[in-house]
Amino acid sequence: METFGFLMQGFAVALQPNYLLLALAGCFIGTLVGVLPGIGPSAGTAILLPLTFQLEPAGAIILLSAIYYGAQYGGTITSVLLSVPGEASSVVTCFDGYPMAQQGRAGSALCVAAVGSFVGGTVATFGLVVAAPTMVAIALQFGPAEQFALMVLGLSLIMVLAGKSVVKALIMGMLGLILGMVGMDPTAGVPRFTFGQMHLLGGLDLVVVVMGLFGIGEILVSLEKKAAPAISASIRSLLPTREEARQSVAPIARGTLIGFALGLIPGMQPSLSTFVSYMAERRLSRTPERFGNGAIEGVAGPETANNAFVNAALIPLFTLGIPTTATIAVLQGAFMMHGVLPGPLLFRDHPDIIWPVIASLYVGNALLLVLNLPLIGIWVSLLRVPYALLYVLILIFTLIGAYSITGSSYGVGVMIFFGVVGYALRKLDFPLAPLVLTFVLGPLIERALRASLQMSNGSPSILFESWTSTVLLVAACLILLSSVPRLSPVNLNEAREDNE
Amino acid sequence: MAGEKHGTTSGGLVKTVQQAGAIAFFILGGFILWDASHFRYLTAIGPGPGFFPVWVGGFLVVLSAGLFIQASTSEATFADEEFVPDRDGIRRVLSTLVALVLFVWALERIGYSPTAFAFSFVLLIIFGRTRIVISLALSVLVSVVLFYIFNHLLGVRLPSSPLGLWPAIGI
Repeated sequence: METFGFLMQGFAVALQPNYLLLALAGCFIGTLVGVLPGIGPSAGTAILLPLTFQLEPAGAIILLSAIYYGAQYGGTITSVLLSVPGEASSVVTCFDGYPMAQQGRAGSALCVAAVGSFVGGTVATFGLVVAAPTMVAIALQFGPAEQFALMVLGLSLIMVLAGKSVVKALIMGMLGLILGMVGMDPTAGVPRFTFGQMHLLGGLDLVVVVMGLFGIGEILVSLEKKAAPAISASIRSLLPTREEARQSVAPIARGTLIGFALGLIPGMQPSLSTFVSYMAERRLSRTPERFGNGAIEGVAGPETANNAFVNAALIPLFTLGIPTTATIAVLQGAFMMHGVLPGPLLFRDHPDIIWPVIASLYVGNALLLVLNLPLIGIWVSLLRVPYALLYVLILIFTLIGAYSITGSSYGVGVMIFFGVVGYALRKLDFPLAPLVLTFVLGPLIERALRASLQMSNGSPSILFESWTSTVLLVAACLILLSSVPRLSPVNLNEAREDNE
Repeated sequence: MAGEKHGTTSGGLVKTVQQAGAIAFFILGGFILWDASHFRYLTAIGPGPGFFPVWVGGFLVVLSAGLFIQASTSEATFADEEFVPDRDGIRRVLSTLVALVLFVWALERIGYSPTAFAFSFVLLIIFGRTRIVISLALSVLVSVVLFYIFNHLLGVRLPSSPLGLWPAIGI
């Protein structure tokens, strides 16, 4: 009950006009990011992160979190109206959402998607509130060995789930660890891999790297193809029929469970939750032949799963300090930039930040529901803006963002370098999520490992002294070993989707 | 397979590029191992600064060797036609890269506004083959308006221009 007391205090803060405005702005910007193809939530969050420098920590995280889950709904709009998924997690919505739009039922699809997203996001946030104290209490018992083992388990899941090529995912993981080592050694204070460059003594900036990999890199890939003209379906009514509403209830409930469960697993792709939900609804339906031709269940379930996933994925970040997706790694970077370290100590040391943020998740989900349906016309009209201008604006924003973070054109140059790297890696089907996640977790892993070995005078047996670390490490090994039969080439389309 | 689906059996270029990627990572891993040898692996109180890089570099060497073998013995995962963009695509990508490099070079030399103006104008013409007058107008908007928004409203200090009329109008 103490938890709910904190939550109420969080609401008291989150409902203040300034924080409400930030949540509103985040939902608006996030939806815009989701609507616009060519820029994913990772890049969008990273590009806008510099704009939060002037804000205090709670406000900055509220804004960025709203952008994060707002982007998920934005992708739905283009999926339904144009059959163009704004994000990888919106692909499934095209299967039945666009046929519904062609039948004049676009409003029903968008309304059900919005309601389902609200339900999924709200239940997942409730799950966060309920689970957080228990997870935090367990995590606070962890010593360096357990922390190391937990992060290794998280990374092993990320590598195995990042795509069909585990080898490529592991290489990206190693690359991320290398990038994380640039700068001063965390214990001895010795510069590593700085090549005599003063700028690198502080290490590589996460936001600059992510903006390059995901922002510049994504745009370069998009520029290879000429943008297709948008053909929009019309919207007659925003409300579903009674029958459609009745058919949506069970899929929304199932989608919530599926999205919530999968969102807790590090490395799980958001798009996977939508595919799992879609397959489940088709399997359970008495009339599966309707799927692909405008079945409302094919929109309700996946859209709910998607938003439940997005909110549930915040739980490992807030309670354990482990980001589970690239976008959440950027959010973690935002926390750290404002001097707050996500993890079990977050609830103890910064309750004035975390509880308003959690309360704002409820508020933001409600704002998305209320705002986005009336504003659909605006979103659609934005798609008529020439892609040339959109790309130029996005590039300018990333360039300004990189300069504002680093204060020099050197930082902008680093971002462009990683933009080229990101472009090359995408062309070669390397998944980028493991790179970002290990870049963030690498210094923490090294610190935990070295602290453990220092305690044991260099003996690795300390990693197996407690049941917790032993179980976690054995689980990590089993997960990695289970991927051995899958040492096969990766499908281009699946790997490219993983980079969203 | 994608290549056969599109009526091609090519993939030789893709395979070569994949192998080159594996070699690049192999070299990177070897470099990390070599550079890590300059740091202490173990100290009196535990692992030193060279400990982690040695293991990471070693894993990278092994993994990239595995990737090279995988790339050499497996079919290409997609056709060359899917890997190489058309002429217009290459033009857009290369021109963007050149523009980005020039932006970095010019930013602190001639200031944000003229740099952003030139950057926007050139890319608008190249991307969308937009009419010159419209491109000029949009470029002025992007450079001048964004400078005011970021510099004066959001507190993000952007380099001012020392050139001619720009300082006269406060940019």
